[in-house]
Amino acid sequence: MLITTTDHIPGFRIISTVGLVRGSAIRTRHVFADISEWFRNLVGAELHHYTKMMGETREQALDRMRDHARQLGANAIIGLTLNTSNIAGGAAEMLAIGTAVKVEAES
Amino acid sequence: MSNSDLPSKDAPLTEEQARSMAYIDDELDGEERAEFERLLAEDPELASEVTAHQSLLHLTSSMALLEPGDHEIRRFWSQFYNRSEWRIGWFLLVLGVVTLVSFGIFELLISEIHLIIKAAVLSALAGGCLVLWSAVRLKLRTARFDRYRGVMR
Repeated sequence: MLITTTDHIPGFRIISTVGLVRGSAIRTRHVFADISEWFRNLVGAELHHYTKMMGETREQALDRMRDHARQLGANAIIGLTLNTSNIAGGAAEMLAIGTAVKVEAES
Repeated sequence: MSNSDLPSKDAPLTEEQARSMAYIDDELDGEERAEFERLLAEDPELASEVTAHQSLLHLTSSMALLEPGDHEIRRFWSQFYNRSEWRIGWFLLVLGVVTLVSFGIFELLISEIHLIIKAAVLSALAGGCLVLWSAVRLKLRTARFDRYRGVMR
């Protein structure tokens, strides 16, 4: 499935707009990872556990958005945006939103 | 001097090589593809070259790209001293916390505090442990279905 942040896909024509699609996910690491990162935070470094957590959350939110688009019969998503929020401390929260469309290749 | 003025060490691709690359990258249209596949059937040398390139493409696309820092992190954790330092540190930390909590519970039990307060604290601790154990069991049961464990960044 094609996903873009733009409102059109070069080389493709939008046949119809299916509607809003979204996927959200909230993930955390375990308490030992939090403690490890707290120590790393003291000396300054990339917080690998949290980088991984953000990556996992992003991919899960995107997959859920893709699944939603498939359920609606779309074959592409345009205007993708990724939003974060702050609900739980030490958690990565991500919301993927886009517009599901049906496209066909331009001849 | 522009880039185009620089001498190139690589010989330009022949038409056949360019077509092989396009075939491997799935860039040929139906007719071109069918024609190239006819050529492949007639020329075993070309077929073996294309197979080797396809294997190379498969290998490169299945390899995970590592940043330079990743190599250093792996090297760091591959050393016995570094692993031991981290594990001993964790062991001492957990040992200290468990000892303090146990001592706290012991002091609570032998103290003069009202029995209801003792029961309430013990109930809260037992409830917390039970909920934690339940969360751990759920995690263990669902972890193998988690598709995102392999995502590194």
